[in-house]
Amino acid sequence: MNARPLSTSTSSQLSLWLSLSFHSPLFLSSSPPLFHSTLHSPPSARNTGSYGSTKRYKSFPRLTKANETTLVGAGGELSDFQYLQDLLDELNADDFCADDGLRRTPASLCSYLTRVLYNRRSKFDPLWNSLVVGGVDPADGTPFLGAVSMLGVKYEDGHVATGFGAHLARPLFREKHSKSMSRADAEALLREALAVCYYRDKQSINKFQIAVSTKEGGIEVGEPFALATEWGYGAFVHPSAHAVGTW
Amino acid sequence: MRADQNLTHPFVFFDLFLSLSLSTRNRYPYVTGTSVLGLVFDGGVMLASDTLGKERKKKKKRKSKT
Repeated sequence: MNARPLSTSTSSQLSLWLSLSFHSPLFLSSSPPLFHSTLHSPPSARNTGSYGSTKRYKSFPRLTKANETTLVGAGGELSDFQYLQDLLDELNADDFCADDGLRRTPASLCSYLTRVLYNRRSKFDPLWNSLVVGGVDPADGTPFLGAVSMLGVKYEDGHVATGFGAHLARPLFREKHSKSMSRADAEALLREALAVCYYRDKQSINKFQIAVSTKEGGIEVGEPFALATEWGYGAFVHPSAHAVGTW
Repeated sequence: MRADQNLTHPFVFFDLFLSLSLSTRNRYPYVTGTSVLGLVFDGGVMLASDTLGKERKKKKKRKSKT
């Protein structure tokens, strides 16, 4: 973008600045790049292995401990997530320095993150994240689970998912989830949902993490694991066998 | 503009102009992660995600010819 000459008026400088700092409202956390890469990549690039994106960092933990009882998981721009982690660390330091035995609850951290994302969105400089905030209340152990979008919109539910998972995993959750299910059942359901997402989301890899927050055990962030997958189905091997005319 | 810069210096305004007009921000996410899932169970909360940071190619300008 070229600079205007110095003689331009203040208002046109401002409008120029606004036009430069405007951020596209496209939400790119998970699913749109799938279409982006197939539609926008030049035909010559179609046979490369990359399709316009690289699986660059394969061991980036996207679930982190925000405080003693709160977990935060992030999709979207990961450097923005690291910035959010810095903000949460500052809050923890404040809590510690107050030395009053009180800690921020998962609900308050969720509200805080919602405000941060909405504030940045209002500056036309959004933090490109969709977040899941979960944990138990340190006082009475009440579970909390909420999701925050990059525009600062929040919802709470017994099960949440961001990005592709909102379309692929939540229908499964609606069918099989109940708030009174056991921990083992919940983990089995999550693994099933992860497999469903993994088969259909080209942006994911078979290396997952599960993190748990309970009143007794605090935060446990599990080790990475892989799911058993089966790619030998006929429809996978010959995807166009029964669709004459497609490529 | 840094706090230690002299605000009365005549170039300050030019500097401000440059910082407002010539600076561009990265307008698209570059290293991204995909879905995160979360469930409430009896006595706690469970979150799951994969561990990938996917790098995205810089957006290319499309030619008008398709």
